[in-house]
Amino acid sequence: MSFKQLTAAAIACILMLCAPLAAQQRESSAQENNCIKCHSKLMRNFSQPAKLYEQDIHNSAGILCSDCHGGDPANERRHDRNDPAQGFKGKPSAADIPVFCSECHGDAAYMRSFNPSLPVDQLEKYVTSRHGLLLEQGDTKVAQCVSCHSVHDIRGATEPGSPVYPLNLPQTCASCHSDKEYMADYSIPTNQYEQFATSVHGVPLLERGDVGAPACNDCHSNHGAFPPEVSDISAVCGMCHVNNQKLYRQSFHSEIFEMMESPGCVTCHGNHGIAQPSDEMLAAGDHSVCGACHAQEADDPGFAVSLAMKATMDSLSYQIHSTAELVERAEQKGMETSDLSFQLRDMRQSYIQSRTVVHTFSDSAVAATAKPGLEQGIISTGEALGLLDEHTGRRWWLAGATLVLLMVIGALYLKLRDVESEE
Amino acid sequence: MLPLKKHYDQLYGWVNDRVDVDGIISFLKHKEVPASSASIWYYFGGVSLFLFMVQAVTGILLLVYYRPGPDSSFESLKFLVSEVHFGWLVRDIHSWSANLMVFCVFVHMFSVFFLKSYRNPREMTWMSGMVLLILTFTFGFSGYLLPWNELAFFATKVGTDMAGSVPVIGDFMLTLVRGGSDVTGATLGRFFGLHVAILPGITTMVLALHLFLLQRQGMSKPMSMENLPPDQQKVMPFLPNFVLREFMFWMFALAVINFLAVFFPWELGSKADAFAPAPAGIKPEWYFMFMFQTLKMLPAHIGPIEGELVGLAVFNLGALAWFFLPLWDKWSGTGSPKAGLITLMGIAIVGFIVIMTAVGYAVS
Repeated sequence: MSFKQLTAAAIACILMLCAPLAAQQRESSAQENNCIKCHSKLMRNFSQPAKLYEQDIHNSAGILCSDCHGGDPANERRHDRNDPAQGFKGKPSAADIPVFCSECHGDAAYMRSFNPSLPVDQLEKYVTSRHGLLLEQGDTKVAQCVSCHSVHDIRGATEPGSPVYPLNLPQTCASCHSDKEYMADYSIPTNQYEQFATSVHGVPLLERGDVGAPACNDCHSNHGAFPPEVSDISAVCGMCHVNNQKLYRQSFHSEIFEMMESPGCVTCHGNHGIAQPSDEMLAAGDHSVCGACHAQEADDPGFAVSLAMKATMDSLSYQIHSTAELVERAEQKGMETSDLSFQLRDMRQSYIQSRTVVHTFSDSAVAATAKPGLEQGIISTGEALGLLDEHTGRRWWLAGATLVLLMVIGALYLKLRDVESEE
Repeated sequence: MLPLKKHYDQLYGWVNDRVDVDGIISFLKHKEVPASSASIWYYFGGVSLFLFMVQAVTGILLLVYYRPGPDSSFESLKFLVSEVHFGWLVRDIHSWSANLMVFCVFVHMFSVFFLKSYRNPREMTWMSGMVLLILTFTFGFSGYLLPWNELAFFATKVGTDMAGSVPVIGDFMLTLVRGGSDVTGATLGRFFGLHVAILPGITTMVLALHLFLLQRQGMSKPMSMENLPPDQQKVMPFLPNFVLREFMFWMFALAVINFLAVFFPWELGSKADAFAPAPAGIKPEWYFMFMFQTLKMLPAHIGPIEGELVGLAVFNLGALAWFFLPLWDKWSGTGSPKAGLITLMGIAIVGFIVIMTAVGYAVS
């Protein structure tokens, strides 16, 4: 046996002996942690990990430094990290981190004792992700566990202080993806965050703190992060925009876009910088998306359909605004308008539904959906005008009543004058 | 003789034979009312009475459609103001008349105070008037809840909370007033019963006593007139001179209410929701504002006692002293220098009420 073989055998024996020790260490909870005691006293940044670990979720769960890095937490003397007998694993390399973390996080039985609801397939997903595939090819610049979750001060994903909490996640992704210099080797844009921040998804999430709005992982997945395939885009959007997806899939545009390898919803709405949809996206104009493919001429059948849809939406929108204005006027005059407010709500619902039905790309379907809203608008306008007329009527009534009262006062005064003159 | 007048005379004669209407008219014709620069204040009592009658009539009309209950009060009122012909008018007149009545009652009370009309022999008239004031406040407080809207609900919650702060019997009083520990349908039920049955009954009896005493003892003369020789004391007959003037005031008050009802209609608001938070800046009606604001401004503790409790105690003791004013004020009308102190006290009270009401609205 050569020296190398002997060394390898010795290491293997030691590792075999250490395995039960590691398992035992996993189960250890209230053990003394001299790692923290010593490392927190180190100078400069060397003490950072120990100080940060106080906030770490693993620390709260009773996981010690040795459970990841090896060594003996009861050892009060300075350890020798080069001494294999001390079982010190040291700092894992970037490439090893996913497997390193998965030793615990991929063990369902082990994780059950901490949080049964946590998934245990992170590594499985990660290796299918763009980051995982590149890491496997040796690119250590890509994100792995600690890039997103941090290290030593890891918080639960649902904690507001976590880098992967929905409100923080876009900035976490942007820390690499918006860095032009860092991303120079990759042929992808670096303006995703910039676009997302002003988008119809980004504004509620980042400015209003609405965690119901999607963050990066909602469309791209988190551990299995990958840009969606062209055919999958409507499915991704359809996770939230269910009706829009259903109607789009049933429309002829779905087939045509797939044939053209056009990315579904993204074709009209964009991806990261999705703007608030408006009726200006139909028909002609600078904001028209139909015009990107269809000639803006009335004899283009597609364009004709978009013109018809726009006309319907404009009519309904105008009807809602004019009715709302009348209702507000009546309300300001002190008339009872709660029923009209409910009717306005129904009209707005009709408008939202019509917007959704636009995804059928059928002007007759949009017209049919908008019809109840338009009819209600005519009725509500009539009622609102009736209230305003009644208000005017009340003032005439007041004038009449006041006149009568003045006449009575006048008559009383004359009678009084009569009586007092007789006296 | 016109046929109509002939029938009228026949009818009058039939009634007169049985109840001696001529005797009543003769009594009223001989009754005299002092005529001076202070006479204008005499009409406020009558206007308060008129507004009470307006409340009674409009209240009865509202009862035709109003259905008490947490699931029906608001809805029935909404139906009344939006669907029933002139329902809005009846409701607005009822609401405005209530506020005007409280105002006129205040003016009447303070005018009686400053004219020192509560002196012997009119002590009982004053005290029955105080009872009517308390009844008026109770009318206002109980009626405010009946629309069962957000404002009413929370204002009642805040107002009845004060009952709970009384030591020893606070919890009992709170439960008695609310019909439970919180403002619920039970509170609405008992406030409705109080407002439409109990209070009108009691008020009618006390009002009858008040008017009887007024008629029996006649109108009091201002102190400036008392010192004049009898031939220089100007008077006017109660009937028809004073009555005609009174009617003119009543018609004017009605015109004011109509104006307010049309140009400043009362909002229905949103239905009460016990689980919703109190709207910001919740405040009571204007006639309770000065007390509310005072209690808000008191420190949390005054010595070992809670500040609010001290405030309530002071208000209650003050009200008691005010009630028994004719019995302990031995100086007004005697030329004593202490009489001036009584008047100053009244000015201070009016000033306090006006200022604290203004502060209450300014800060809210």
